[in-house]
Order: sequence, then structure tokens, then C-alpha cells
Amino acid sequence: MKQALVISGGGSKGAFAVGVVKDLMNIYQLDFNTLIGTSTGALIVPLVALGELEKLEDLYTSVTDDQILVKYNLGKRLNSNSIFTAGPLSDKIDALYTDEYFEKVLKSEKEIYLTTTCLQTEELVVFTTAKHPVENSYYNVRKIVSADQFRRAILASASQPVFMPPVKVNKTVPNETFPENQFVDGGVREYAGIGMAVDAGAEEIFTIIHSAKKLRIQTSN
Amino acid sequence: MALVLIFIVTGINAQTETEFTKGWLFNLKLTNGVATNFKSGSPDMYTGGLGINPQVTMVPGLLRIGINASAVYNDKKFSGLFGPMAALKLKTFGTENFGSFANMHLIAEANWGTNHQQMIGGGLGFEILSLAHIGLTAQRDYKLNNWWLQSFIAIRLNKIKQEEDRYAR
Repeated sequence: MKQALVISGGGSKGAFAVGVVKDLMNIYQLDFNTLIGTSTGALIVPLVALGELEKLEDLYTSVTDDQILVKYNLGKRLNSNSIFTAGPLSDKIDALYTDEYFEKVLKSEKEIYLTTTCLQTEELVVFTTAKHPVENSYYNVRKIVSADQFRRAILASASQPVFMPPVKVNKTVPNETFPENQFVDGGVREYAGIGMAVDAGAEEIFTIIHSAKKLRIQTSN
Repeated sequence: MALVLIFIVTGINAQTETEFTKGWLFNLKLTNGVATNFKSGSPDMYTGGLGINPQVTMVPGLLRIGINASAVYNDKKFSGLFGPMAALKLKTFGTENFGSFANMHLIAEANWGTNHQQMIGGGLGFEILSLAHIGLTAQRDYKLNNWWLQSFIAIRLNKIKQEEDRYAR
């Protein structure tokens, strides 16, 4: 049975998803064939694909904002495209998702989908390791051709516009028509890629949504 | 020992420090104030000037040094004033999550003038959005025996280098 894991955006709330995924894989022995991540979910699913749960737990329990973002005097960012830069996050992505790791992902035949939004076309663009991804009129599908593009797509999906700089995901892709196109968080267009899991042929879909439900506390007088 | 401590502290904060960052700035500075000896019955003399004030960060997050070079009007005369200055950051004003927007710093300066002025003093300055400086200074002219009490406003003239991520380039 083809099982899919969908993880929504949600920043540091991704720690919750990591805990849920650990239980799903360790206690319920689930093995996901299709993994779809948006924003913080895009940071998580490539590690889930190869069962690197310890690295994932370490990432979400020991890293602080200051270790992934660089803050500035706001006056110095008036002419920039983001309030922060994300050099330290890029470094962490580079260290985690090496060329070897990308090769292992391809060999595993796990289908990873990373959702992004293109600033130039305003389209939802999904970067995937799937060999035969299904096209859909609602979103654009791009097959990932290199480890560099893989890392850029992860970073782009996690880059909240205004706060983090847009990423040129296709900058190093050979013969790319629009290498300068900029990509940001897929959550701008699609909070959780459940429809993509359906399109990918998943028969069971496990979705982790990070939006907290508002609770109304009733008081009795 | 104190210096070692300063370097250890600033080293720890280097990643998160948003004020007094590495590099230099070039200010155009306008001053206004009075020169007084606090004693004579004669009115205080107006003093005003326009000058440049380049500064370079010596200890990130803590200390900048620079020079003042200005033309001032005082006692119906124009003078040139030149001298070194230093700024010690006292406080960063900012938001918890989005970085800073200003800092308060202590200023120490000495100036020599073309009309026999020999001054030393200091004051309090505020740097706002890395673009403008405002502040108050008091300098004692120990040669001509009076005090220069001034306010200043300075505008940064040199362009701020924009940091950019390698994947964004």
C-alpha cells in the first residue's frame, strides 16, 4: 500500500511533527513512500525519507533562531529583500543534505515533494525526486536534477517571504530557461500538499498540520 | 584582564550583534550650540558648524574610533576644528525577534581649532537605523577658558553594504 506523509508549514512547531513522525515510524512501523513537505515540513521530510530520525530530533531540539538566521539593524535592510539573512540555515542544509545523501534518496526511490512559490510567475512550484511525477493544472512540477538544486529547493520552501531571502532554486541547472527566478515558502500558496499526495497515488495519507486549534474556555458563574 | 574579558564577551555576541558592526561609516555632521564660561554677564556665544566624521569599528558591538573635521562659526569668526573621537556603545534598542533599530553610545572627543581652541569633552549619542546620529556634547576649551555645549545631527553618507545569502545571489 502506498503511504504518504504530508507535513505543513509552521516554523518551530515542526518539532511537534518530528515527535509524531517518530511515533508513526517506531511504534506503528510505517514506511512512507511519498513525502510532501511545506516550509518546516520541507526541512523534515528529506530526513524522514531515509529514517534519519536522530538527526531530525537533534535539529529541532537543539537549534535556536540565532543559529539559523542572522539579524541586523533594520535600517541596514531597508534596500534588501528580507529582514534576515539565512546563511546559517543554508550551512545546516548543506551539512545535512550532502551530495551522497541526495544519491541515497534517489536510490531509495522515495518520492519527496518540496513545495515552493515562484515570485516571478506566482505559481505553486513543487520540486520532486519522483521519477514520474503527475502533472496538475493547480501546480507546476519540477524534477530535481542535482544535489545543489535539492538543497536550494529545501531552503526555498523554508524561506518565509519578507523575513528570509528568496532562493534561486534553478540557478545551477544546465540549460535552465529562467535561472534567476526566485522561490519562497510554498505555504504562501498551499499550506499542506494533501492534493499532491492524492495525485501521487497515495492510498493512505498521514497529514501533520501545525496550526493550533483555538480553544474557547467556558467558565461557569 | 579587562581587555581579555571584553574580547571574550564580544566574541560570544559577534553572531547576534546588530549595532557597531564591523566596517566603517562616513558621517556628515551639523552642530549647533553655545560657548559659555558660566561666569561673565555677557550673553553666551552661538556656535555652529558643519563637518565630516568618519568612524571605524575597533571592537564589534562595543567601540568605534574616528575623527572630526569641521568648519565652525563662533565669536564672529570661522574656525577649523580637528581631532579624534571614540564612541562606546552603551545600549541597543531593538525588538526581541526582528533585530535592532538604534543604539545609545558614549562619546569622547578632543578638538584643536585654528583660532587657538583646545578642547576636550564628550557626550551622549544615538544612532538610528544605521542612517542618522543625534546627540549632545559638552567640551571644555581649556585654552580659551570656556565650555562648548552643542547638539548635533549627522547623516551617514557612505552606502551600507547589503549582506546577501549565496543561494539568493
